[in-house]
Amino acid sequence: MDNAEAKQLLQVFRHGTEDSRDPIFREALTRVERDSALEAWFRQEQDFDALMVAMFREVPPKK
Amino acid sequence: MSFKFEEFVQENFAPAYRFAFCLSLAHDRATRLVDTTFQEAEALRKHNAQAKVDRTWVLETLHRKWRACHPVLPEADLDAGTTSEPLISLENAGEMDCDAVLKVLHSMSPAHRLVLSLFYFEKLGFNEIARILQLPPETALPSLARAKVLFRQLLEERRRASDTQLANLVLDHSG
Repeated sequence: MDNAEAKQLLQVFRHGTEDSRDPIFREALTRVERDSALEAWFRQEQDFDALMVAMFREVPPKK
Repeated sequence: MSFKFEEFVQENFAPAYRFAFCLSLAHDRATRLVDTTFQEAEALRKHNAQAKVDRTWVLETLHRKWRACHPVLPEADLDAGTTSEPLISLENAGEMDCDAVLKVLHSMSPAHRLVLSLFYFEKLGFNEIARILQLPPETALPSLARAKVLFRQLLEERRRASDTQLANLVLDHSG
Protein backbone atom coordinates (compact mmCIF):
# COMPACT_ATOMS: atom_id res chain seq x y z
CA MET A 1 0.00 0.00 0.00
CA ASP A 2 1.34 3.46 -0.90
CA ASN A 3 0.27 6.79 0.57
CA ALA A 4 -2.27 7.43 -2.19
CA GLU A 5 -4.01 4.15 -1.43
CA ALA A 6 -3.82 4.85 2.29
CA LYS A 7 -5.43 8.27 1.77
CA GLN A 8 -8.26 6.72 -0.27
CA LEU A 9 -9.11 4.54 2.74
CA LEU A 10 -8.39 7.03 5.48
CA GLN A 11 -10.60 9.75 4.05
CA VAL A 12 -13.65 7.66 5.00
CA PHE A 13 -12.32 6.47 8.36
CA ARG A 14 -14.71 7.29 11.19
CA HIS A 15 -13.42 7.08 14.78
CA GLY A 16 -15.73 5.42 17.29
CA THR A 17 -17.42 3.14 14.77
CA GLU A 18 -16.76 -0.38 13.49
CA ASP A 19 -13.99 1.23 11.39
CA SER A 20 -11.68 1.17 14.42
CA ARG A 21 -11.82 -2.64 14.44
CA ASP A 22 -12.04 -3.17 10.69
CA PRO A 23 -8.82 -4.79 9.41
CA ILE A 24 -9.19 -2.95 6.11
CA PHE A 25 -7.88 0.22 7.83
CA ARG A 26 -5.09 -1.45 9.83
CA GLU A 27 -2.25 -0.98 7.35
CA ALA A 28 -3.27 2.57 6.49
CA LEU A 29 -3.46 3.53 10.19
CA THR A 30 -0.02 2.00 10.76
CA ARG A 31 1.35 4.17 7.94
CA VAL A 32 -0.12 7.24 9.68
CA GLU A 33 1.90 6.43 12.80
CA ARG A 34 5.11 6.21 10.78
CA ASP A 35 4.70 9.06 8.30
CA SER A 36 4.38 12.59 9.70
CA ALA A 37 3.17 14.08 6.40
CA LEU A 38 0.43 11.47 6.15
CA GLU A 39 -0.43 12.06 9.79
CA ALA A 40 -0.80 15.81 9.18
CA TRP A 41 -3.03 15.13 6.16
CA PHE A 42 -5.11 12.66 8.18
CA ARG A 43 -5.56 15.17 11.01
CA GLN A 44 -6.80 17.78 8.50
CA GLU A 45 -9.27 15.26 7.07
CA GLN A 46 -10.59 14.39 10.52
CA ASP A 47 -10.85 18.10 11.39
CA PHE A 48 -12.77 18.76 8.18
CA ASP A 49 -15.20 15.94 9.00
CA ALA A 50 -15.64 17.25 12.55
CA LEU A 51 -16.37 20.72 11.15
CA MET A 52 -19.03 19.36 8.78
CA VAL A 53 -20.64 17.33 11.58
CA ALA A 54 -20.77 20.45 13.76
CA MET A 55 -22.22 22.56 10.93
CA PHE A 56 -24.93 20.05 10.06
CA ARG A 57 -25.87 19.66 13.72
CA GLU A 58 -26.67 23.38 13.80
CA VAL A 59 -29.41 22.89 11.24
CA PRO A 60 -32.60 21.98 13.10
CA PRO A 61 -35.06 19.62 11.40
CA LYS A 62 -38.35 21.30 10.44
CA LYS A 63 -41.39 19.79 12.16
CA MET B 1 -36.57 -3.06 29.11
CA SER B 2 -40.02 -1.85 28.05
CA PHE B 3 -40.44 -0.06 24.74
CA LYS B 4 -41.76 3.46 25.20
CA PHE B 5 -42.98 4.56 21.80
CA GLU B 6 -43.18 8.28 22.62
CA GLU B 7 -39.58 8.30 23.83
CA PHE B 8 -38.48 6.32 20.79
CA VAL B 9 -40.06 8.89 18.47
CA GLN B 10 -38.56 11.77 20.42
CA GLU B 11 -35.07 10.26 20.31
CA ASN B 12 -35.20 9.35 16.64
CA PHE B 13 -37.26 12.11 15.09
CA ALA B 14 -34.34 14.40 14.20
CA PRO B 15 -32.16 11.77 12.47
CA ALA B 16 -35.23 10.29 10.78
CA TYR B 17 -36.39 13.65 9.47
CA ARG B 18 -32.93 14.77 8.30
CA PHE B 19 -32.44 11.53 6.39
CA ALA B 20 -35.98 11.59 4.97
CA PHE B 21 -35.37 15.14 3.74
CA CYS B 22 -32.09 14.09 2.14
CA LEU B 23 -33.97 11.30 0.38
CA SER B 24 -36.94 13.33 -0.83
CA LEU B 25 -35.76 16.99 -0.75
CA ALA B 26 -39.33 18.02 0.11
CA HIS B 27 -40.68 18.73 3.58
CA ASP B 28 -44.13 17.25 2.96
CA ARG B 29 -42.74 14.01 1.53
CA ALA B 30 -40.16 13.79 4.32
CA THR B 31 -42.92 14.20 6.91
CA ARG B 32 -45.00 11.44 5.27
CA LEU B 33 -42.00 9.10 5.09
CA VAL B 34 -41.19 9.68 8.76
CA ASP B 35 -44.81 9.30 9.87
CA THR B 36 -45.32 6.00 8.05
CA THR B 37 -41.97 4.71 9.33
CA PHE B 38 -42.85 5.41 12.96
CA GLN B 39 -46.29 3.86 12.40
CA GLU B 40 -44.55 0.75 11.08
CA ALA B 41 -42.25 0.71 14.12
CA GLU B 42 -45.21 0.89 16.49
CA ALA B 43 -47.07 -1.87 14.62
CA LEU B 44 -43.97 -4.05 14.54
CA ARG B 45 -43.42 -3.75 18.28
CA LYS B 46 -47.09 -4.47 19.00
CA HIS B 47 -46.85 -7.59 16.87
CA ASN B 48 -43.47 -8.69 18.22
CA ALA B 49 -42.20 -7.24 21.49
CA GLN B 50 -38.72 -8.65 20.79
CA ALA B 51 -38.32 -6.98 17.40
CA LYS B 52 -35.21 -4.82 17.23
CA VAL B 53 -36.36 -1.31 16.45
CA ASP B 54 -33.62 1.28 16.74
CA ARG B 55 -32.13 4.21 14.82
CA THR B 56 -30.55 1.90 12.22
CA TRP B 57 -33.93 0.20 11.69
CA VAL B 58 -35.55 3.64 11.22
CA LEU B 59 -32.97 4.73 8.64
CA GLU B 60 -33.11 1.39 6.81
CA THR B 61 -36.91 1.54 6.72
CA LEU B 62 -36.97 5.12 5.47
CA HIS B 63 -34.59 4.15 2.68
CA ARG B 64 -36.65 1.04 1.81
CA LYS B 65 -39.87 3.06 1.64
CA TRP B 66 -38.27 5.72 -0.54
CA ARG B 67 -36.74 3.09 -2.83
CA ALA B 68 -40.15 1.48 -3.27
CA CYS B 69 -41.32 4.68 -4.99
CA HIS B 70 -38.01 5.42 -6.74
CA PRO B 71 -36.99 2.41 -8.79
CA VAL B 72 -33.82 4.11 -10.09
CA LEU B 73 -31.12 2.62 -7.93
CA PRO B 74 -29.23 5.23 -5.90
CA GLU B 75 -26.01 3.37 -6.61
CA ALA B 76 -26.53 3.90 -10.34
CA ASP B 77 -24.53 7.12 -10.28
CA LEU B 78 -22.08 6.12 -7.58
CA ASP B 79 -19.44 5.47 -10.17
CA ALA B 80 -19.53 9.01 -11.49
CA GLY B 81 -15.89 10.00 -11.62
CA THR B 82 -14.39 13.02 -9.94
CA THR B 83 -12.38 15.62 -11.79
CA SER B 84 -9.19 17.33 -10.69
CA GLU B 85 -11.03 20.46 -9.47
CA PRO B 86 -9.59 21.94 -6.26
CA LEU B 87 -10.99 20.94 -2.87
CA ILE B 88 -12.09 23.48 -0.29
CA SER B 89 -9.59 23.93 2.53
CA LEU B 90 -10.46 23.42 6.17
CA GLU B 91 -10.03 27.16 6.83
CA ASN B 92 -12.28 28.25 3.97
CA ALA B 93 -14.91 25.65 4.85
CA GLY B 94 -14.95 27.01 8.40
CA GLU B 95 -15.91 30.43 7.07
CA MET B 96 -18.88 29.14 5.09
CA ASP B 97 -22.45 29.53 6.22
CA CYS B 98 -24.19 26.32 7.43
CA ASP B 99 -27.14 26.84 5.10
CA ALA B 100 -24.82 27.24 2.11
CA VAL B 101 -23.04 24.00 2.99
CA LEU B 102 -26.37 22.23 3.36
CA LYS B 103 -27.55 23.57 -0.01
CA VAL B 104 -24.44 22.13 -1.66
CA LEU B 105 -25.16 18.74 -0.07
CA HIS B 106 -28.76 18.84 -1.25
CA SER B 107 -27.67 19.78 -4.79
CA MET B 108 -25.78 16.50 -5.14
CA SER B 109 -27.12 13.30 -6.73
CA PRO B 110 -29.17 11.00 -4.44
CA ALA B 111 -26.36 8.44 -4.22
CA HIS B 112 -23.83 11.01 -3.09
CA ARG B 113 -26.03 12.97 -0.72
CA LEU B 114 -27.30 9.81 1.00
CA VAL B 115 -23.86 8.46 1.86
CA LEU B 116 -22.72 11.91 2.95
CA SER B 117 -25.80 12.58 5.06
CA LEU B 118 -25.28 9.32 6.94
CA PHE B 119 -21.56 10.07 7.30
CA TYR B 120 -21.94 13.66 8.50
CA PHE B 121 -25.37 13.83 10.13
CA GLU B 122 -25.33 10.43 11.81
CA LYS B 123 -21.55 10.02 12.10
CA LEU B 124 -21.73 6.48 10.72
CA GLY B 125 -18.87 4.44 9.30
CA PHE B 126 -18.98 2.92 5.83
CA ASN B 127 -20.07 -0.52 7.13
CA GLU B 128 -23.20 0.90 8.76
CA ILE B 129 -23.86 3.10 5.73
CA ALA B 130 -23.62 -0.01 3.52
CA ARG B 131 -26.17 -1.82 5.70
CA ILE B 132 -28.66 1.04 5.66
CA LEU B 133 -28.37 1.61 1.91
CA GLN B 134 -28.17 -2.13 1.21
CA LEU B 135 -24.89 -1.80 -0.62
CA PRO B 136 -21.93 -4.19 -0.48
CA PRO B 137 -19.30 -2.66 1.87
CA GLU B 138 -16.75 -2.84 -0.97
CA THR B 139 -19.06 -0.55 -2.97
CA ALA B 140 -19.93 1.78 -0.09
CA LEU B 141 -16.30 2.58 0.76
CA PRO B 142 -15.12 3.96 -2.61
CA SER B 143 -18.52 5.59 -3.12
CA LEU B 144 -18.19 7.49 0.13
CA ALA B 145 -14.62 8.48 -0.76
CA ARG B 146 -15.75 9.82 -4.17
CA ALA B 147 -18.76 11.61 -2.65
CA LYS B 148 -16.49 13.36 -0.14
CA VAL B 149 -14.11 14.57 -2.84
CA LEU B 150 -16.98 15.82 -4.99
CA PHE B 151 -18.57 17.55 -1.99
CA ARG B 152 -15.36 19.44 -1.21
CA GLN B 153 -14.98 20.40 -4.87
CA LEU B 154 -18.53 21.75 -4.97
CA LEU B 155 -17.98 23.69 -1.74
CA GLU B 156 -14.87 25.27 -3.25
CA GLU B 157 -16.77 26.08 -6.45
CA ARG B 158 -19.51 27.77 -4.41
CA ARG B 159 -17.01 29.70 -2.29
CA ARG B 160 -15.25 31.04 -5.40
CA ALA B 161 -18.57 31.98 -6.97
CA SER B 162 -19.53 33.90 -3.81
CA ASP B 163 -16.15 35.67 -3.76
CA THR B 164 -16.55 36.72 -7.39
CA GLN B 165 -20.07 37.96 -6.72
CA LEU B 166 -18.83 39.98 -3.74
CA ALA B 167 -15.92 41.44 -5.73
CA ASN B 168 -18.33 42.51 -8.50
CA LEU B 169 -20.60 44.16 -5.94
CA VAL B 170 -17.67 46.10 -4.48
CA LEU B 171 -16.61 47.18 -7.99
CA ASP B 172 -20.17 48.31 -8.80
CA HIS B 173 -20.37 50.42 -5.66
CA SER B 174 -16.90 51.92 -6.05
CA GLY B 175 -17.55 52.78 -9.69
